Amino acid sequence: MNLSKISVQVRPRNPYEAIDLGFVMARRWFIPLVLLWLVPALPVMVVSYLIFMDQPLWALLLIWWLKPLFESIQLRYISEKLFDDHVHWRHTLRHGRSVALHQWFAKLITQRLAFSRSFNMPVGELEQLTGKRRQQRLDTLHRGAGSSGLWLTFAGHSIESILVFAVFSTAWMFIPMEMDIDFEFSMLLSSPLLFPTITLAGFVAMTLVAPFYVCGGFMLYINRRTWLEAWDIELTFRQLSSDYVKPGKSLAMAVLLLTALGSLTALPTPARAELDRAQTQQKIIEILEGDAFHEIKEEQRWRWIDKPAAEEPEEDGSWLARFGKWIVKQLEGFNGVEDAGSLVTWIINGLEIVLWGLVIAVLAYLVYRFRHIRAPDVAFDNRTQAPPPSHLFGLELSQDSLPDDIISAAQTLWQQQQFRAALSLLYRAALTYLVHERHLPLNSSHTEQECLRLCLQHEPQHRGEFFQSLTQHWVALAYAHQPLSEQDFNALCAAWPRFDQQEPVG
Amino acid sequence: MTEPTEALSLNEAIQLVQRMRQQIARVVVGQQQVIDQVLIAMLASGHVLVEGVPGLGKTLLVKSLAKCFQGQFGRIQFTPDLMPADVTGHALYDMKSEQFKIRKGPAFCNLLLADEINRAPAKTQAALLEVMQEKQITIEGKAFPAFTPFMVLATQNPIEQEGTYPLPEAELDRFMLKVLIDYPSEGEEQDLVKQVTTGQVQDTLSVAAIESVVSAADIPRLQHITAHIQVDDAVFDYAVRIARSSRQWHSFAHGAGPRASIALIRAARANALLEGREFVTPDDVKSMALPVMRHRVALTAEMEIEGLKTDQALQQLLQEVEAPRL
Repeated sequence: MNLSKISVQVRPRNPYEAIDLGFVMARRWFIPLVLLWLVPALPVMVVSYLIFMDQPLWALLLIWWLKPLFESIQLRYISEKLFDDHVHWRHTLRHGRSVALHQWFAKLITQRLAFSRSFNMPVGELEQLTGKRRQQRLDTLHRGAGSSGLWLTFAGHSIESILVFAVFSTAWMFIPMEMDIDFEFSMLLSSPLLFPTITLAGFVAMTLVAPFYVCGGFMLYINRRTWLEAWDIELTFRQLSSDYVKPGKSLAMAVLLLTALGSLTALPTPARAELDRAQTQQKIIEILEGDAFHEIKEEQRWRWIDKPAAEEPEEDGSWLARFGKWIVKQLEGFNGVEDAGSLVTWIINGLEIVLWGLVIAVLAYLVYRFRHIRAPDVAFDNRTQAPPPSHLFGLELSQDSLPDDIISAAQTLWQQQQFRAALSLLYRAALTYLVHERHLPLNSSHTEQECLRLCLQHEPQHRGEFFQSLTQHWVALAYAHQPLSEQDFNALCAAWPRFDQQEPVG
Repeated sequence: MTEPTEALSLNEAIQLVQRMRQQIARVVVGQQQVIDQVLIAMLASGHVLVEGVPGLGKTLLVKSLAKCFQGQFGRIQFTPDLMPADVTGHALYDMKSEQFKIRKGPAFCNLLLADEINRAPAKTQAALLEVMQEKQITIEGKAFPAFTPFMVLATQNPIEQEGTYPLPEAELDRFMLKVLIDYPSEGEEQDLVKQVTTGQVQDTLSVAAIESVVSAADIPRLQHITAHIQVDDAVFDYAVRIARSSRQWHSFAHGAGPRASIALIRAARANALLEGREFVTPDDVKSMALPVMRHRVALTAEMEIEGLKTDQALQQLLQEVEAPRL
């Protein structure tokens, strides 16, 4: 993860603004995201449709249940795309199977009905946390944005249902008034003949909503981390570090850069203070005793006084009993009315499906809990450490590409009349030394004068002077084609050992 | 451009440019970067779009530049009712001689200050932009050559955008540099106030202090020398890569065209001459990238909403484009 390559502007946002940004991302990469959904989901849909030929709604339920698997592939894609614009969706799809099956049990059973599922998803998928640590992390993340994640899920479900209804309303509206068919909208939805159409419309609705749901949740997560880990401040520091690093700060900057380049999969530092309990207690008491808590203010304003509430009717039984009573009441209420019977049947069918789903979920949870079955963790062992900081400096100056004895190699080139190659070798060696040994924050976009400025700021005088004269000669040779005199070249070669020394002189 | 009869040597050119720079800096206090960029545009025979709030000495800068090479100075204040003929000139019927006489407009000068160019409608802007591009002025179907040297400094006001006619992208492209002029620093402003108020009745700086160090005829020679400053292939490559990468850069809705690469190299040549070098280095290109590119790219709507400035986006771009090496 290279923060400077992030393709959105990083700043702390309000959660809904973050969701909005997620939607912008979903719009921008809509086609790849939809393809990433369709390629795995369509075959599953076709197979389940064939299996439940008579009961197509079961096929829809199955796809709905498996949604987290497909969405995790989309999540992987946008998380890569956010930091590297060149990622292709086919590349993500190639690893799709392992990404989808990673923590499959948890995704399908224990976390399936979580209210803010898309917001939680990155914690399991990208940080690869499980169990207690996952819960702690979620608590931290939810503290600022949990309700927005919930509303995102709610809105996603609503839009899916609206899309399904929209298909049928459109069809209904196209029936001419003259046809005089005694046909109610509710009949359209509850007729078993149309269940296949509902299934297909539901599938299309899920396909269309999934990219927005996943991106919204992901940006909510990124935004929360921006708040907790101050990514915007870090980016500003990096900007400053590349322009105006003051002498003596280079080590601090290097450390900063290293932390900034930690992988997204690496664990972030916990956003909790490192004080022990007693110290915290002490501090709280000090603050509570301070002046801020002892200001006395008098305020006057009008307030509505409620009338005393009427006595509450006696509660009998638990909520389950009340729910059952309510159902019975509804059923009784509708039994007599023949016209609305189909709608009631439809609602009851829906309820039946939801209840059966709950029963399966509870059973599965119990099995999981008491037989100590561990979910096979496909990708867990593949967890990689943060990449080594070798790619930190984009400069293609590896130490391997240089000869061991630079001076003699350069002198040989000089004697072979390859003046440019000889000086170029010296200049390249000097840059390599500054990058690898002196850890100067140089990158590939620095021009010669910028390299020189950094070197003069950070390095001892003798080294700066040598590099200055080397740069002058190199610039004159490279861009003005002014040949270097042999005397100057020999002087550079003679001064090289002092430049190369580990211990600064003086 | 006509070949100058008497060529200057490179060293003479460097000295002349330095003298002009010093003379202007005597009057225009605390805007060294702006002075340099305007001189660069003049040496590279380009035009400049200056953006800044009113009262920062834009007119003074143009007047002093004109004074230091004894050039003619013209000024047009653009207003919504300004007509093309008010820029170029018009034909007038003379009753006595019973003939049409040509009245030449303010565009007949060496240095033209087009104040608040975005206040005039597109027709009038186009008349001026034609003069800039074609270096000729057409009055009643008759073409007159523009003065040599001819340079336009158009100004824009970043505030009070209501009722203006923003220049279209294609017309912005005609300006070689877009120079941002900002408030002077505290020390510089103190100097300025001292200079203006001591022994003077009016509250403007006078350009009387400026000595004419070159003649108008020397400017084409300087431009000729600028065009012959040596540029290595690696530097050409660098300039082209900067312009090209702006076209794929995620922050920009559209990037800079090939005119940007051309302007980058020409401005880099002039910058090298200004710094007293006879060859161009990648640093020249990099230092010219902001003024050359900032009016040729457009930020995407998302980045604009985020409050990202064009200059910041360009800085990010420059940090990603590899400098030529080895």
